[in-house]
Amino acid sequence: MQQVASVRWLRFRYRLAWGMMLLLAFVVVFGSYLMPHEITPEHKIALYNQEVDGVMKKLPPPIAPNSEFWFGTDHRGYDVLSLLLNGAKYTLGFALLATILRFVIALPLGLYSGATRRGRGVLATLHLVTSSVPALLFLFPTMYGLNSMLPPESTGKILFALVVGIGVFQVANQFAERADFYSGKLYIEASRTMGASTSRIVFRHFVPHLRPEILFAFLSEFVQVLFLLGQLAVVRIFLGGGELFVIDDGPPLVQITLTTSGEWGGMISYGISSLRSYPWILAFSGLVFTLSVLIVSFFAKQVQKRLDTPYLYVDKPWWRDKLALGGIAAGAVLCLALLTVSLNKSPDSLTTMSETTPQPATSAPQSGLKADQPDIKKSKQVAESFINYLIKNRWDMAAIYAGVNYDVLAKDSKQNVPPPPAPYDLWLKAFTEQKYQFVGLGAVRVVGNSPEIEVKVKDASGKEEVWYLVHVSSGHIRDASGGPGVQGKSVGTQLVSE
Amino acid sequence: MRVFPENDHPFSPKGGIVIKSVVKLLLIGVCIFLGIVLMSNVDKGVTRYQPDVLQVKLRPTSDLTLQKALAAHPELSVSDEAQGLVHVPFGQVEKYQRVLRVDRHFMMVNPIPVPPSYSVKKYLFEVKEQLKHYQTGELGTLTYTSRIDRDYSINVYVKDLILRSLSYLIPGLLLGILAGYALALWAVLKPRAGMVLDNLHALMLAIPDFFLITLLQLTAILIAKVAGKKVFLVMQFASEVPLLIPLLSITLLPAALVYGSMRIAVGREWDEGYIKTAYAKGLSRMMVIFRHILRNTSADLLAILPRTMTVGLTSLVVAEVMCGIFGLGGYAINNNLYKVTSLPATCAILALFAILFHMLIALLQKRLVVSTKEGEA
Repeated sequence: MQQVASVRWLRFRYRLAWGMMLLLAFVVVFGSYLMPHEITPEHKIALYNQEVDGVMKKLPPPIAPNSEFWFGTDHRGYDVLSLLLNGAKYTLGFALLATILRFVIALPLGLYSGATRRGRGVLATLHLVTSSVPALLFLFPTMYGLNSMLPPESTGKILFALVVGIGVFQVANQFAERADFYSGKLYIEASRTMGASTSRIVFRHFVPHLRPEILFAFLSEFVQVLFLLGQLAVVRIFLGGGELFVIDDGPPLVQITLTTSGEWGGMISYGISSLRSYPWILAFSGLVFTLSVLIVSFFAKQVQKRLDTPYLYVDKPWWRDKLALGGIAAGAVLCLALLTVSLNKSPDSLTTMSETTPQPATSAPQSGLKADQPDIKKSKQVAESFINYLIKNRWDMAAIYAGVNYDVLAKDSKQNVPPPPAPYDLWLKAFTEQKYQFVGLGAVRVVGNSPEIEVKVKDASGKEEVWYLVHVSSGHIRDASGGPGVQGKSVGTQLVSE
Repeated sequence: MRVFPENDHPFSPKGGIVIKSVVKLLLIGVCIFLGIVLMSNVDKGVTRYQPDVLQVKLRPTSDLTLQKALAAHPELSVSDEAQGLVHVPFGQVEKYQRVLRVDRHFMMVNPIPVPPSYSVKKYLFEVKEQLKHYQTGELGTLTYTSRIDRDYSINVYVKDLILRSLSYLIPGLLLGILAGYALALWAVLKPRAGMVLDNLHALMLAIPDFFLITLLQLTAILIAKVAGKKVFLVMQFASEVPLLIPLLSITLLPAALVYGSMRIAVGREWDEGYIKTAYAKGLSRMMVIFRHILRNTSADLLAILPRTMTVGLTSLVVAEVMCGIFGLGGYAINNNLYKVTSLPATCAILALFAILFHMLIALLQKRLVVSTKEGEA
């Protein structure tokens, strides 16, 4: 009875491993569809309401994890969860490609060397040289020099070549040893006597015998490559170089490279540099990285068990298993639903979309825009607060929404606030001196990815005018059009309903 | 118990095996050193300026010709008087740029930009130059962001860097090996604890080292918050160097490795008939552990130790970078540093640690052969 239970447990773990692996693959493939926020320059946040010692203050990001940003944000106001979801495909894809290439080179090399015993000494020596000291000691000084000399695209390719090259000899030697072992077997000698060529022996005898080992070695190697990428990220060597950013958390100013794609190495490297002040960036990046490694390791272990004791797993084939079929169907439906309902928010795809498909001038709101609804609500709140402060003649507060000289406002008192720039100076004058009245906010249109809001006002004689606030994000207003006596010009292309 | 054929036994007393392995390790060490030097100079082959020409302009006040102005530097020759092109020895453009800039005859000294390309000749020249520097004992330089026009030799710091890094590398490794072994014994003696430890071991091996250190640092920060004062140092501030976090991070992974290997070895020996015989003869558990288990699993322990060093060294680099320690592994990743040219040398020193450790293991294996012989006798 106990044995039956343990076999069931074994099978459950095997299925669980598959389930988790598929989930990981799903996140990698559809990560950019699952992103809760976008990570394009229009979605950078300048100021955000944050609680400091029990008091709400408008502060520049990074924003600590909250109900809106589950994993917090980085220094640009980009959602860490969205960055990680978008970056999964780059990091895991890079590691997978590097592992595949390692095997494509090492496997034929090792099996040939094992079968013919040619170059065994060279392989063994190269294996010893590359494995007796950590790979990091070879890659760190090499990439350190190259990083300062070459553009990121070239260093990415070189990093890929190095990551592949440093591990080839270890895998080749491992399989050369195994092939050497099988070479001594009687059936190989018999095959050879019958005139089989080396390639026939390798493909007809070694590969089928070694298939389980190759699979397990592949998964272990994948984990090792991920580990190496993590270590390289610590010494600031990573794939996705992006934009330079200066962090001003007190002297000295620190200039760092922030990833624009959310590549995990870049996130880890950046997270380490701001660990003490903003621990969530590294904590969540590290957690996601570790979870992926754990899933792959667990999968490798379960597959190994499955291959060691195949008789324990004899079960219905998956196409007759209702549970498995149901799972596959549900997964397929989920993927399709995601593809049709959700937008691909990856920064690359957004750029191509805006380049290739011009938006219609006015049209009914599209289903895809529903994801922007809360943003529009927030933008309206921002616009309303901005106007209210103008009416109260509080430019010091309104300026926060208008994105003027944030640093001065965050630190200094009201007296140091610079005067309003055009056209806000005329707006302020209209409300405070020319007896203009605010009627309300009107239609919202979209310019690029951010809303443009109509501001309806009445002058002293009761004549209505329409001004516009442009690029009103959840954080601040970028521009305005119109002013007292001048009707605003709308630049928005697409009408959006709330 | 594994039975080795007489000639295949790894600790066969047949003469010369240890010397052979030490010589082999030395050769591997040389290969590693060369590998690091060759790889780390790859960037030097990128040419952005002509490697043997400088463009100079004489001061308007100078009444000398270019030929005469260069008389103090016989190794330089004029290749184009009208355009002010001066031929310099290959690869020494930067050096002569510095020299001529302080010369009162010249107003402007500039290299000639070319489209970026890769020159194998320049790469080989730079590798040769680097090896020449190493021959004279010059390991490289550091340039600080506060003064980017001045390079400081790292030679004066090297001793401190080595001592600082070794101060937690050696204790960390020893602690890791001991803890791993002790836990493996405990896991075999107490099967329930063993199950928990096995799962923990699997988890430890799947956690990347940087995340382990992150967790340790966050724990230290949390403890400091709860206690209201600094309990463990998270980062290096001036001369205050954190000890516990790097020590623990170097300890944990080797401990997990040793545990994994020794758990199998100790379990295997525990089931042997001679252990039951020893019990039957009235030996206490302690005696059995010390007289039999420790001795018969030492070969397995020595087999896994080289890997612990590799893992330990990686953890050292990661821990030093993350804790901001100015040690051999992490000094280059420092916000105050503008440029470092000593990285190949310091990485080679770290590699040397690994090779020395491998040699130590080879010697220990020789000692073990003798003690086994005595035991058998």
